[in-house]
Amino acid sequence: MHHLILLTHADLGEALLHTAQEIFGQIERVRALSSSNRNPHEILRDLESIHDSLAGDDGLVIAVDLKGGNTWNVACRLAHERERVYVISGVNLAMVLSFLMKGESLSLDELVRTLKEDGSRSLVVYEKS
Amino acid sequence: MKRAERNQDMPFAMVRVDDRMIHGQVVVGWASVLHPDRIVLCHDEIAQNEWEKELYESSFADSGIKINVFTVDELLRYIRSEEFEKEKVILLVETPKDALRLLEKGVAFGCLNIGGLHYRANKKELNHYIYVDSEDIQALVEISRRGVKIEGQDVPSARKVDVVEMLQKIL
Repeated sequence: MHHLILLTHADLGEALLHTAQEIFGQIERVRALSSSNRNPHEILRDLESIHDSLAGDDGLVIAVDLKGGNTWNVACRLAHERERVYVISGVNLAMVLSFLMKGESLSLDELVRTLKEDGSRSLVVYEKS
Repeated sequence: MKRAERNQDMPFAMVRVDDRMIHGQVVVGWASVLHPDRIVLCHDEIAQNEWEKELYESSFADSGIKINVFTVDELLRYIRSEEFEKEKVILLVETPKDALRLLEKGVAFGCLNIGGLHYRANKKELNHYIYVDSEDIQALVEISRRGVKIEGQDVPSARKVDVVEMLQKIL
């Protein structure tokens, strides 16, 4: 089973989680963490303890809001020191829904690729005909 | 900026203490107000760790701002270079102690911004983004004693606060 952490500034992750719940219904294996007003070492400690609590073959995807932001830096640190952790930036609702719909059936590598594709594919400009 | 025009007391666009180091508030928030040519994080351990250095230096590669992680010695060399004379620079350190070390090594700055020293156990709160322990307090007092103005301001739109005044209330 794969798990998703929405690691964002302020309450974006929490809001995405609530919004996804409204669309998808009850959600498991997704949680939101905020980096706001927190020391990066403390955030890393939270990520490490979540990772520790996973079963051996569980994968963890950390979706962050901004590449290069504090959320990205901390998440990459976990991915650097632990196995089966991926970090993806630019989290959006389509990405979260993609995880909910496809998270169980894909391998971790496939899942991360799919999240990137589905998240990117949702960025569309309406063309007036 | 030519050396002649540069204020010798404050040769940087900003010198900032931030425990998140290079991140959005600096590269997006402050850079859009200060328009630096370069952002330098001075941090001996990170500068000597290839993986971490790359993480920070590559993060905003498409921002048009040069980003470097330097050891103290590399920073001293850079400050003496011709490049530095021409560039507008935001200088970042992780802790007040690191800022004091730069002063001791002869890096001059008249103003120090405290942008983030976030909550950790056994730290005292000055405001929601500044928490200090005895090591931070000692360094800040010494920095202030050397005539450097210490201002708290996390983002450009926030009101500046006098950190020494806030320290006096908890000491």
